[in-house]
Amino acid sequence: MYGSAEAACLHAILAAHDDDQPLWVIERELTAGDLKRGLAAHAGEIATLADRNVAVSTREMPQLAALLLALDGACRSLLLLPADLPAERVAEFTHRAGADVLVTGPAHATDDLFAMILQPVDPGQPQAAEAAAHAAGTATRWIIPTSGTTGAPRLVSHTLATLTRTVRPSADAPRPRWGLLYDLARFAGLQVFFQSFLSGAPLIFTDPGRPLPEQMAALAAGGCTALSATPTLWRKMLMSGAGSGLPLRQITLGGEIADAAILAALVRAYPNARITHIYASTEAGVGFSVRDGREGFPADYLARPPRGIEIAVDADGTLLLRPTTGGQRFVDGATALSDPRGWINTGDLVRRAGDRYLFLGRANGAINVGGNKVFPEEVEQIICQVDGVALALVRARRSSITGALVEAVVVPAAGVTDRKALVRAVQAHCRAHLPAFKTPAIVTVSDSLETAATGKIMRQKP
Amino acid sequence: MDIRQTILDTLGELLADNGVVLDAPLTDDALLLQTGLDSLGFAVLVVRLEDQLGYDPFMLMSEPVYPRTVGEFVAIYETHQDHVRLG
Repeated sequence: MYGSAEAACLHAILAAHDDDQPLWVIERELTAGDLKRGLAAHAGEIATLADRNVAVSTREMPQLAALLLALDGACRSLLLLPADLPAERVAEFTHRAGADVLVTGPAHATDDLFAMILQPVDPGQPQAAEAAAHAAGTATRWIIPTSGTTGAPRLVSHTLATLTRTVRPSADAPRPRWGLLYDLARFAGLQVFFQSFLSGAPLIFTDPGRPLPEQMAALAAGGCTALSATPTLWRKMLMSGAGSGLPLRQITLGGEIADAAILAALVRAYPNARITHIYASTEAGVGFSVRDGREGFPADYLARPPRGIEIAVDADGTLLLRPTTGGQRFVDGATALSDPRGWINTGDLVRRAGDRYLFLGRANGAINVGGNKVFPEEVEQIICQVDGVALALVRARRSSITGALVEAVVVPAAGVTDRKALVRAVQAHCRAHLPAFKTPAIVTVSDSLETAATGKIMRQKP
Repeated sequence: MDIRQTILDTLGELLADNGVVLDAPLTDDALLLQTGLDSLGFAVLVVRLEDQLGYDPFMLMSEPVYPRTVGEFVAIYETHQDHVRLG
């Protein structure tokens, strides 16, 4: 019904759904009518946020969904703060986005999803306010953090139209029942939210902070038939047996490279499911999806691209995307999001193999460990703090389980003879100072490291 | 080379690194993801074994299988043992 048409705002989409249509499953089912009544009860409060620049933060996904529904179309800009964001980042992002009010849910449990606590914040430099450039009455800007290309997170500004450009409302009957395993404040979670909401399909909420078997039990209880997760999470489900009983008709993989092995394993485990892997970038909105069950994407996408996007590969093998709906941009910083002709550099490297393009990883050396990004420089700095380490090199090691892992090569300082002790010291120091996914899986000792002509360490494995 | 022993020793070292103390030896029907290993730890185990045995069966298998138990895991390595290269 909404197709590629510009989605007006979430209120308008809700208004078009029949009152008895179940939309959200949070232990019990909430219908479109329930949500309309919830919104109406808070209309006065929502009106006070008109033309405000709002930051939203809550760990409760149903509450976050309710806040997005209430605020899109009402406020001028909407900054999404992921639940796992450290406190200092919250302050920084709020400042950079020029938010002037922080909206959270009440601390105590309540049946009223739309209950909100407003907290004024210092809006920071007015010129930094993304929304200051926007006249009142235009679409709400959605400001979404990305992990960025150099380590510093970026804020990307979207509208509902640029975020939902490639969402295809499902015409399947019966309607799919989507499960939510992701944080809604992240791009992957939003995609699931929009896919279900625009189609008028039920969305089953789970608590991303709970162990996987509990999340899967919630999905089973809610009758989940469609699910999106990273390849790493799908492998974990297959290994643990969690989710083995779900009657899935749609399986979506995203956030990491989907290899042939996981695609084949899912076909076997869920023979009745359509399997889609998506390539998405927060910068570009969504990228494109691949539905033929094979890894990579058809080379023919360059000539005949999927809808909503054009695809090119530059001379260095970097994937470029040009969305047909413009309008997304970085909130601050000097870097333009796209070149003058509108092409966005995704920072992802691809390689032609027969009639396919296969994904190789990040051009800047960032390592994707099960969907978590690791910058080698950060790990190298930690390793260099260890007594007895002269030089450290951190690079990606291919993993059949998490896509990649972190591997470190260290050069001992003069006089260090006990190499095993050095490896143990490096591992212990990393475990103490880094999250597990950044801790090197393998540490080896070498007498020298190859350096490039620029003096930089070579990260490409010979 | 005893593949089973290499696997159990490597798994034991990894668990010890993570502060997991086993109160009894692992049996074949122990669930892998309940030994104290999460999916990241499992990925680390597979690359460490690749360095020791010279192969990663999960990259070699034509019909992908994700093992649930220690016994299934060992069996997958034994099935592909013609790829052993002592590192």
